[in-house]
Formats: sequence, structure tokens, C-alpha cells
Amino acid sequence: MALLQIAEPGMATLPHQHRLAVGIDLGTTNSLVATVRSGVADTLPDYAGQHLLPSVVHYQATTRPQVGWEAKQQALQDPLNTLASIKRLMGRSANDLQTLSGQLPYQLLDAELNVPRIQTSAGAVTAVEVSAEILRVLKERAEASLGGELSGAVITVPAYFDDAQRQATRDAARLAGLHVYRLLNEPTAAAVAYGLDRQDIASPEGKVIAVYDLGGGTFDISILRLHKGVFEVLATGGDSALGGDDFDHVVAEWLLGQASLANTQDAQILRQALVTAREAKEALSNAESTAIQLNEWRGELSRHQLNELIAGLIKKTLVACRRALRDAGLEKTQIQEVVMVGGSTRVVAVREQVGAFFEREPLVDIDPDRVVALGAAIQADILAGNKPDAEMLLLDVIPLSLGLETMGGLVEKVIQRNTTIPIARAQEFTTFKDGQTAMSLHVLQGERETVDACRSLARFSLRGIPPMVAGAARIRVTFQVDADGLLSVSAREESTGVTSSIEVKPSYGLSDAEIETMLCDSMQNARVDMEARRLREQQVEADRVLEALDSALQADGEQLLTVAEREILLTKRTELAAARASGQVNTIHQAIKALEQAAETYVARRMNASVRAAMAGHKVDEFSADTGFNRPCHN
Amino acid sequence: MLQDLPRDWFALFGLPVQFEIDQAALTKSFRELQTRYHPDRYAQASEQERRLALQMTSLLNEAYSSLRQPRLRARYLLEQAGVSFNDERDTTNDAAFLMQQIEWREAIEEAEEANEPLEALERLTKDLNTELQSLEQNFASAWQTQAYTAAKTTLLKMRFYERLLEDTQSRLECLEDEL
Repeated sequence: MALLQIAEPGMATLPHQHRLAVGIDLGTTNSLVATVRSGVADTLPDYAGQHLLPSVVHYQATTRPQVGWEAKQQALQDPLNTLASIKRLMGRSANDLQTLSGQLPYQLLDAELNVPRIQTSAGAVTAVEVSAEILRVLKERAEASLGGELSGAVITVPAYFDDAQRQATRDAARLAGLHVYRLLNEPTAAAVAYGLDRQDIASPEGKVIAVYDLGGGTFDISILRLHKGVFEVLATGGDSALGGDDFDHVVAEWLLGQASLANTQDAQILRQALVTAREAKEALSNAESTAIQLNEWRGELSRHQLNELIAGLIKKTLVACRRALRDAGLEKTQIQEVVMVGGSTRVVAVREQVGAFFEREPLVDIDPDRVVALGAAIQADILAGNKPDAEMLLLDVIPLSLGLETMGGLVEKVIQRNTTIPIARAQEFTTFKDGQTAMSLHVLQGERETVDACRSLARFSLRGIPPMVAGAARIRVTFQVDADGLLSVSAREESTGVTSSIEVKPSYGLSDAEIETMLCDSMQNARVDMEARRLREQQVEADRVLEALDSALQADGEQLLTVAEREILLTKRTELAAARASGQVNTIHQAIKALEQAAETYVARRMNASVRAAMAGHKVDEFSADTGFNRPCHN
Repeated sequence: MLQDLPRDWFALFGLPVQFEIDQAALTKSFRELQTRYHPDRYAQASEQERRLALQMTSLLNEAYSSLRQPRLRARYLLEQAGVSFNDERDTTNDAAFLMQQIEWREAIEEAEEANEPLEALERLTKDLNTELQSLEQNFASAWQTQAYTAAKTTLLKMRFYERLLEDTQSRLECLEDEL
């Protein structure tokens, strides 16, 4: 390949290089990594051929955490150290978690802090750090399978994720050492994967579709207009705390009630109830009824009963669908296609009711677990510059309004929900005291009118306003939302042109300083990892040398060595065995060297002996091939 | 690569300066400009180009969404014609109109108490939109004849109807949340 890339003389830029780019679906239940190879998007499997990576991390006191299937297996034995559904905690405050706490079997710390930490046997961890572990595994999987370092990734987030949740996702990627091209909304990714924009291009107005995305912990509905590669999101809605997990919880509660365990505090039983509930739910996607068991209790759950238990939850999703339609200014009948995404759309009642609501059969052609990662991979390939002629363009919206606190604890909206992003809006403020040089702003996100009912994003302090009489200063505050849906704020005093300095205090989420600390920690961890690996390597090398010596001595030690010579080698052998047990990298290394030095003469004699034997008609490897004792030492 | 775009919203999309708007032409032009300037086109470009792309598309989105909304389009036209606005103080003293507003408010409250409040509120939304559309026609003819004072009065009335619509919408959403 490289030989074919001939640069013309004087050419300023290098010939285009294919950059390794991936799409990552960081899900509540499972995560996936996908890439485009030879024009086709596909998810990447692990060594065992598994594409899905369970979004589960098992923390242990001394070794690196386990991630994925291994971790999932620990859920029942070690529930407090096995963190699942961590996506539900992203960008959430300790307060938010109080409401979820009945559902979380973890020990939460620092309830008063912005970012809740979970106690594990490896210390306290945040949701961002747990997510970073999952991303790290996916990154390693992709780099191993693509054979190089990734140049960037598109990571998907629920369309309904607010600023804090998006920021947390970006922070996790940063911790995992991933360069994020873009945060992409999951329903938009799914629409890309389905490629519905390529059909019906005859219509000048394009095609309007709805993407219903019910995952493990989040629900999104997006209404899009597709027109020749342009995916324009008209409206989005949802609930970032509603998903298949909630189905499991209502079933588990019912189960605990049936088994007369409604008030149990036993983390293991609670986990077992959840696992059983999930299995029953999944079984009912293909059966009318299923047998279940919890402790001594045995019973049956029918699909009809399941439907009744989850009816309220499905109804909530349909309310969001209705609202999104209204925001898009459309009637149900104008929706030309409904796409189902997310594992929870396998539940029969979900498919039926969504079909009934939109009055059309929903599309389920692509595996609902993989479709989001595939769409993200297609977008990543384009953003990496691998498809310079691609026409695709994704125009997304901000899911929740952004506003400022005004007098009396009310919120004034600055950017309305469903505004196409990127967007910038400026608002002017003035001072109300003579000589006032500072003012503070409180930014909120949400649809309600009071501060309490919205999510507090950040408090900004504007400093360095030039002192003037009250009302004379004109401070222009600009809110910029980028294509990822992330907000940044800048301020400037208009009459003097002085740029006010802004101090941001995120209401939730991690500060830059905290991220830095975590990065340092993870680098330290990486050092610890590296030392552990070097130790492991030296131990393996020691074993190899010991084994080689033993088999050589057994083969010809008596013929080729004097008793004294053998004694010396055996002493060195004992020393190496002791060094190996010490766990000290350098000690082992020294002992290997010492033994190899001591054995030099022996090795030489064996070489000669084997040459002689060969000349006498014997094969060389009869003497030395198995022992491999004369391999040079590696440092 | 990134040159300066015209700051005038109509010029930006190559449209004539007038209230009636060719939505299809606006959308077509918007898509073309987005395709050229969207930050995703500059994912591998320099930091500065990426900042410019962000700024350009923010302007495009602002202009596009404002031109699509009749009241914001009307306001932009008046501002371009030199009419000033004071959002705190501008209001109407048309007594008959204000009376009518009170009646609309009552109608909203009644709809909320109706047997099928969601349907009642949605019907009301349609009625309010009809009122808004007739005000838009009034605006268009006033602006055409450069009767800017009359045009501004009509525009302020449009804002009243928008607030009624916002109120109806938020009541609808509260009801939905309770479902």
C-alpha cells in the first residue's frame, strides 16, 4: 500500500490517509463500538466474538476493575462492587439520586457534593470514571482490531440528555483518552444507520420519520425530516430516566411482593429479583407466559400481566411522542416511517402500542441493539475525513430550553427547546447599583417556570465590570450551544468593550480541576498497570529459563558437566526460583542474568555436542530444540 | 474557505425583503448553506476555522428559525426599517383588544376544566392560530404601505396571541405530565 502512495513534487499536503475512527454506543445496559471498513459499517467483536459489552464494571481492591461479561458475572456475588446501569447517574447530583436510590444497590458517599461518589472496595468512584472504564475497553478493542491508534470517535448520547449529562459523557471520554469528534444523539444515529434519506428522494419536501428509542435507562423520541443526506431534527423529546430498567423494577417489585419479600434490604435478593425480572421480561418477548422463581417462591408471569405492570411506563413514552409531534408542528398522519431502536423495543407491548399510536407498522429491520453504534460509525468515518464527497449532514436540536434566573425565583428562557444547534443568543444586562463591578448569573435548563423545577447548570460570576452609574453598563452575555449540545457562556461590557471574566461553578458535574486530578490518577494507575505487566513478563521469563535448564540438565547434564559445575548451576537455579517468588522485577531480572551467565559454558558445550551429533547423522533438534536455553536475554 | 456571510437575513438566503416568504426557497437555501458551513465539515480543520464555522452556522440557524416564525420575521423587518422596540414597555392600549384577551384567558381556564381537557386545549390552540394568521395578514399589508406604526401595533398584538399559545401549551404539558 505505502509504495503506491507517490507524492507529487511540491505537493503541499500529504496524500489522504485513512484515519481510524469509530462510533461508540455507550449504553445503559450494553455498549458497542463500530467502524466503517470498505464502506460498510460493522460492530467490532471482542476476542471471544462478542459484540455487546455489558456496561458493567466490577471493582476489586488490588487489581484493575473488570469490565463487561466478567464483571456482570460478579453482580450477584459482589453486588456492592459491581456497578451496572451507571449511565443513569451521569451528570446527576446526589439529590437526583435520592429519588433513584431505592433502585440502586450501591453505597453513595458525599451526599452534599455536586458529584456523588460510589463506595467500592477500590475506593470511591464517580459515574464519569466508571463510564471511562467502559470506554477504555472499547477503545482497546477497536485499536487491537483495527491495528492502530484511533484518531477519533463519535459517542452517542440520548437526545434528551441535558448539558450536565452530555458534559459528563465528554469527561468520561477524556479520561479514557478518546478524542471525541462529536457527541451524536442516539435517534439521529439510528436514522443514519437506516439510510432512510436515500429513499423517496423524488419528493422535494423529503420524508418525515419518527425514531422511537427505548433503551435500558433512557427514552428518546425524535422527529426528523430527511432530504438528500440532510437529517434535520424537527423536534425531540423523551425522558433520560425511563427505560427497560424501569420495566425490570416494576416486575421485580411485583415479584418481591409475590414472594413476601417486599421489605427486604438484602442487596443480594434485590439483585436476584432484578435479574429474574429481566429474564422473565425477555422471555415474554417470545412466549405468552413464563415460569419464575425467587428464593423458595415459584410462580408464573404472563405477557398480559407484564403488559399491565408496564402500561403506565409505555403511556409516559407516548405522551412524549405527542409533545414532540406538536413541537414539530405535525400531525401523526404526516409521519411516513417509524423506526424502533433500543433493546426495550423488543417488548411486544411496546411495539404494539407505538404502532397503534402512529397508526403504522414500525420498522425493526436492523438489530435494535446495534443500530445506534452503526450510525455513529458512519458519522465518525465522515468526520475523520475518510469520505470527502459525503453529502451527509446532521442538523440536531437542543432538547431542553436554556434559561436564566430572574427576580422571584423565575426562569426566563434564552434558548427554546428544539432550536437547531449550533446556536448563539445574546442577552443584555445592566447594573442596578452605582459602581457595581460584579454580577452573578444562574443558568438553568428545563421547561418549567420556576428555578426549583428546572435543572441548575451553572452559576456565573461576571467580574471586572467598569464602575459606572447604575443602569449605564451594558453587559452582553452570549450563550453559545455547539453541535454537541454543550453550552458555553461569554460576557462583554458593550459601552467600554471590557470583557468580563467569567467564573463558572457547575451545579453538577466535575470541574476541570477534578478531571485533571482523575487524569493524573489514571496515569498513575497506568504506571501501576505497567509495573504489574513487567513483573508478569519477568516471571514468565523466569519460568521459561528454569524449565529450559531443568530439561537440559535432565537430557545431558551428567555427560557435559562436572559435579562442581552442576552444583553452581543448581545454586543459581535456587536463587532464581527465590527471586521469582519475591515479586521484585529487578531481582528476578538479575537472577535470570546470573543464571544465564553461569550457564554460558554449558550452552556452548551443548551447541558443540549438537553439531557433532548432526555430523554423525543425527538431527540438531534432538538436542536443543525443546530446551531453547540459548535464546538471548531480553530486557 | 469560510468567507463572510451577509449579515442581512434575507440577503443571506437570497430572498426578497418582504413579509410573505417562499418557505421552500428558504429551506433549500438554508440546507445549501448548512452543507457548506456546518462545523462537521471542518472536523479536521484548524481551531480557528472550526470557531468560524460554529459562528456561521449559529447565525444561519438564528436567521432561519427567525424568518420561519412570522412574528420574528415581522419584527426583523420593522427593525430594519428603523422602528425601535422596548420589550419592557411596549404594549397596547386598545381596550377592546385587551377585553378580548381576558376572554381568551377565561376560555383557556375553562378548557382546562373541561371533561377532555387535552382535546379542549388543542382545539383552542387551533383557534388561537387562526387569530394569529389574520393578524399576520394585517401586518403584511401595513408593512407594504410603510404604515410602520400600525404594523408595530399589529406585531405587539401578535405577541399577545403568542403568549396565549405558550400558556395553552404549558397547561397541556402539565396535564400530560400528570397522566
